[in-house]
Amino acid sequence: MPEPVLTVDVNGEMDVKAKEVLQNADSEEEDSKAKERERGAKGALSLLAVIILGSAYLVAFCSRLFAVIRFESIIHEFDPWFNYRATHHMVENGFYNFLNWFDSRAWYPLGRIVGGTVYPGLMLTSGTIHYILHSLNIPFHIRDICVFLAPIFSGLTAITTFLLTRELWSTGAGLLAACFIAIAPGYISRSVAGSYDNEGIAIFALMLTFFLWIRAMKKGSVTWAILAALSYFYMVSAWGGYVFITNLVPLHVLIVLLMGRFSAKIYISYSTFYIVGLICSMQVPFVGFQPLRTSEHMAALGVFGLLQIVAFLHYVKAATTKKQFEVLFKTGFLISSVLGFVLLTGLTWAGYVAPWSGRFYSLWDTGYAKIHIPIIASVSEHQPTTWVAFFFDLHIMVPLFPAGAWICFKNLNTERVFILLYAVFASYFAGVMVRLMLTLTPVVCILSAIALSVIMEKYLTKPPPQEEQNDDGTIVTKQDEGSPSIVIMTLLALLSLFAFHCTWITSSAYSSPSIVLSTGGGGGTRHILDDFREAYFWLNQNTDDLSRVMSWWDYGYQIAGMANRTTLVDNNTWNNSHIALVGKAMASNEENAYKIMQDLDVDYILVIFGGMIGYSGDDINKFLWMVRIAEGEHPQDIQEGRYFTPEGEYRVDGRASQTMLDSMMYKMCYYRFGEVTVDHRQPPGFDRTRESVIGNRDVKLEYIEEAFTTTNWLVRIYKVKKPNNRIEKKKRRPLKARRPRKTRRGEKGTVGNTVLVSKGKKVSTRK
Amino acid sequence: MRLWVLTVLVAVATAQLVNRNVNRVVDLTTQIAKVTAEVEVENSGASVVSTYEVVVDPSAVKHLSYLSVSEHGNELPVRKTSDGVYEATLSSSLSNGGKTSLVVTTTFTHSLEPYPRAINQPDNQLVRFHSNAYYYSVYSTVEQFSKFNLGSSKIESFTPRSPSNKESQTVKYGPYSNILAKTSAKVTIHFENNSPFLTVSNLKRIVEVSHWGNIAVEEHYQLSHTGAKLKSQFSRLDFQRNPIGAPTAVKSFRTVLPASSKNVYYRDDIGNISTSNLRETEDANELEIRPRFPLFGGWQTKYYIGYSVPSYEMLSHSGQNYKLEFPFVDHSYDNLVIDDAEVRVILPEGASDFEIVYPNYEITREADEKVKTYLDTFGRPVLVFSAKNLEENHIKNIEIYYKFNPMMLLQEPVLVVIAFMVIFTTVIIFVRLDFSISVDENKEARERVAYLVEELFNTSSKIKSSVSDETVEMLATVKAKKDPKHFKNAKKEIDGLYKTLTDEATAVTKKIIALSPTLADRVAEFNRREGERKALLASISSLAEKVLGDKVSKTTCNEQENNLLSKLYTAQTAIEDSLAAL
Repeated sequence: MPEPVLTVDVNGEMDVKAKEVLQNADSEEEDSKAKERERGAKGALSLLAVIILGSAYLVAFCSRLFAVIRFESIIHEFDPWFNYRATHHMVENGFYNFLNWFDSRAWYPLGRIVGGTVYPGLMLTSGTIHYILHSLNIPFHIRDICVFLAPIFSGLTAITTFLLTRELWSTGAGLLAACFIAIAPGYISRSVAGSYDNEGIAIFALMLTFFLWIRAMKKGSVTWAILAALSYFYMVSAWGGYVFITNLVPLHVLIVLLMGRFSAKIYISYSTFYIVGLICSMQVPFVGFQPLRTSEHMAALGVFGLLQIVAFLHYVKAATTKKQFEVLFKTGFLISSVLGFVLLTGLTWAGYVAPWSGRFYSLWDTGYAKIHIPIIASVSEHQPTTWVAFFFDLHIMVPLFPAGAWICFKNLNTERVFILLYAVFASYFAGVMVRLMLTLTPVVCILSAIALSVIMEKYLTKPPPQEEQNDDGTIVTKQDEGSPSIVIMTLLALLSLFAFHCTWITSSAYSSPSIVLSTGGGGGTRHILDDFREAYFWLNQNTDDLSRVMSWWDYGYQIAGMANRTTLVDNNTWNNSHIALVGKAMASNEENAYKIMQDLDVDYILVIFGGMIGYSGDDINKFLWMVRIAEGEHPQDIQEGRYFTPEGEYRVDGRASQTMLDSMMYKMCYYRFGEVTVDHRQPPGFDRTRESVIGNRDVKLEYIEEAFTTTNWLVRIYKVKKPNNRIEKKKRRPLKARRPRKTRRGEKGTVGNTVLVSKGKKVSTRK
Repeated sequence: MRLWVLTVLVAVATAQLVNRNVNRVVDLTTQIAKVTAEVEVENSGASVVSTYEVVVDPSAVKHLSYLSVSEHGNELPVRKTSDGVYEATLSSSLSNGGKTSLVVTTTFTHSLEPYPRAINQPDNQLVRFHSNAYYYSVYSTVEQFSKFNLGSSKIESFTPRSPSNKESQTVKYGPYSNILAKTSAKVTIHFENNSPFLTVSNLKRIVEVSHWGNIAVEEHYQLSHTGAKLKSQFSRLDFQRNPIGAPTAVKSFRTVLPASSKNVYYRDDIGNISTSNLRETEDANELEIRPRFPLFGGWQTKYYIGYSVPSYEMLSHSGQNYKLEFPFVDHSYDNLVIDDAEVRVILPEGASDFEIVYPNYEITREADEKVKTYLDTFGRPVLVFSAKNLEENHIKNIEIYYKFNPMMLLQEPVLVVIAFMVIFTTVIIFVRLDFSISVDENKEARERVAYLVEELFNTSSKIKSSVSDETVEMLATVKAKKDPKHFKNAKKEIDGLYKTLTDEATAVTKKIIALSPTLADRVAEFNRREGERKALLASISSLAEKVLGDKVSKTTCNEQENNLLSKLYTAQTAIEDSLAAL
């Protein structure tokens, strides 16, 4: 049986109310029975739509729970750990304390002003849910709310996508789009349970804003425009990707103007949206005055100005003759656009308006980041997308998407211009950066749904029997059969393949918490490698509360979140030179590194080492980025070339360069690894990840000592030794600490923080 | 070695009892010092004595965890008179010359001192135990003998006190005769003890009672290894290479849960601890707890476990009177030591009139609290108890009696039902009734017009898509095939369709004008444009007819066609514009 939804006709988009009103109007003429029947059919259709949307919501929610079922309700990966920690802080200390939070446990010794450097939308959302539940006496732990936030919002995204598509095309297409977005891997990749990140709620906000914008623009209503602005505000508070809206909506308005479709509706909706949205967005501390001062936001301002001019011209048009007006228009347009451009350039040049930031340049020039900002290039999700990734994430929607775009283009109207613009830009950005596949997915779902809906409408509605006159004059009715059912069958087969593909991708590729690894043993047993948490919890329990842990920035958030220890650098990556300093410490030899570590008060160093079990995302494989980033700031001390073999290869075995063998990272990863036999077919010291025997099997450490190594050697923690025979500062005691009751005999007492000099240790003769 | 001889005058004056024979066994094989003294007591005084006083060596009072006195296997009631002084009431009074034999059991925690205080990973742990060579008593002792079981033959040293000697795993002191009351002779034994020195420095136990048939227990542990500290750093390589290479490390231990326990979990702040096993046996469920990392001396960890038991295991009632009986603390590993325990009992909402029967050791009742969880309105009562320095002997039941009206059970479902009813009613009222302050007639009219315009638009676009496109297509086919029959059919069909559609459009336009006369001009405009389209379509079909009859040359045909098509296109755009204006 074909899906009945798809047969919802174009009238479906009609407001139910209007229809009812009409029915009232026609009541005199119409048979009341027919009316009843129509109302019944209408009700059945909307019930069906509600049921389908409800199922889409459920599917969206449930298909994201693989990780929870396989592992547990846990926060995934890196950034979510910071978000969780911030949310936890907010729930414990209140919203204002959160906004004023100075996190002294990050970026030691600089610290981080968290309130002013985060998009607080995510934390506010889960904090609000937490608050509501607790005021209803439902004691959910904030962690569970955080874990399930993304799936909850994915369901809502399906609903907003439905609304948007219904505005653009029809109810049928809308329902299809909702079903698509519910399971599209491109979106699931960032919104599985536990992936507590901005993107999870941002796509919902994005779709809602677009829907409300289209609504506002269609209706020319201030109410809808304000709603759109509020939704935009939510988006701004949630994700840096709001800039996409800030540029796409004005662009839409501009194109509509260029198409000569200016109307009062556009004027009202955009002006309201822009002003309210601008004021609202400036309330977010992290955004502040950016909407007025950075180039990314200038397009919106420019279009706003242009719209005022156009509106003015329309007013003038009514009061002048056509010829006068044409002259006025052309000169006015030319002058104002030139003036605007000059003004913008001037302000940028004078420094009032910040030029495009590096991250945005990297959107236009894919090679830019690699040369200028290695720290951005070092993140795998900032790499350009491969062709395979498109198929992987979108599957059958890849061919349907252009078809939908074509259909929209053929039946162009003001709102479809918008979706086409969205399609074009999102496709480009998705091609530049893997991460932005996320913004492409919704539009692909919408356009594919439109394409599919058009096909289905064509083939699912029975064509009227064709009457044909035979030669002898008799009329024969012919029913064209065969082809429609083949098309439908093929489509259904494709759709079910799509569903299988999505489930498979979700389960195999996107549902790993990445802090808990699992390996399959023979006979279907599953072995869980919990080394990360082992190490973090060891740090949490068995090191001093104020000790400082140095690690590569990837693990900063996790250390702060799980071990609750001070870190030097973390995933926020706002201070390149600090990261470079840590990179330098990792890349230098022990003596130089020790100096840096002394300067930075490092107590422990944490490295990830995958050579024991063959985990490829370890620090040795990331080491070149550390070297590169360090070289960017300290070119005289660190040179990338020195870490390669003379042939220019990056190796860890006997042919590795001396600099490589002497580097802290190498030593820390391979300390005593030379004594380990991982595989009986291989000599001791065989690195499973690099598949080679390490070059230095007898690593000696002088300034640091091993403190902890996890079960599978995945995390190794070293303790920085205190300097010997040196002036040692007495540790500042916390104010609460009691004074020692009696001074031990034979020792000099100290006052306050005076320096205690010890010259070697005396062999104690006392028993 | 030093010897204290305390004043015995007082003791002599009060004591009528004499310890005829004392046989003391001190078990030091674990981290707890368990002292069992079999005492033969005789009343040598004139008056009748009904109590026996037990005094704990003053130097060990702070380590005392548990004390019990039993007579012929029956435990006697013990009353604490002051710190370290207890008074046991004998089952029958002793008159002059009366004899009885008692067993005094005491246990001491944290009394084995690791020495040296810090050791390396592969080293064995040596501990020192300070004790009294004599049985410490308020009564004088005629004959006594002490035996220290060490569980290890590696004895570094012990304080000699003749007669004393060491055997393979024991150190023996005595027999000594005629020791006066409260005589103390400090001895120290230094020996190897690799048993796990685990201490629960803080235990928080939450027992939540639900009258729906479930009792949930959750225990939060702060666990530390209180043995000799790890001197150098931990080496995983050595630890893995030689499984017995770290004798003092605690890799895992066993927690015994009630046999009926279900839904067992073992977690900490950062999630599930995956390294655990649950083994179900006939008598109990054994949870093998493996901390995230092996515990070495000085290391600590934190975790919580939880499980549910069916309420019939712990809860009984008669009428509205309920009795909850459960172990105050429960087994979490063998020879456990708990420094601080807090037990919170959450009773159902509405429970009142609490009466508590404590086990025979010191439990403090803290102020009651209230907690609100699922669907609670005024909060559930929470009884809070605390106790210090506990060990295995303290696993004893506490009884809580309370009153509860079973009708209260219905409160929560009724609450949910009412909440849903309110929601549905609100929605029904909101949807069915009109809440606008004034009925806007114009608005309705406007909506009607808007709907009609939309219908008109639909009709018009149908005309475009079916009639006009078909006509153009027809011209193309005619040009290609010149099939008069086909032409005839197509034309007939298109004309029919066009007629119905234009009829529809006219009907709609009439309605629009009727509803809103101001729109008449624009409707007229639309009609004019529609007329243009009609003419163009007519000329296209006549062109087709001409083509069919070969009345025109191909070039003129094409020319005309292009001309007409572009006109048609502009006309159609004009129609759309005029509709948009509507």
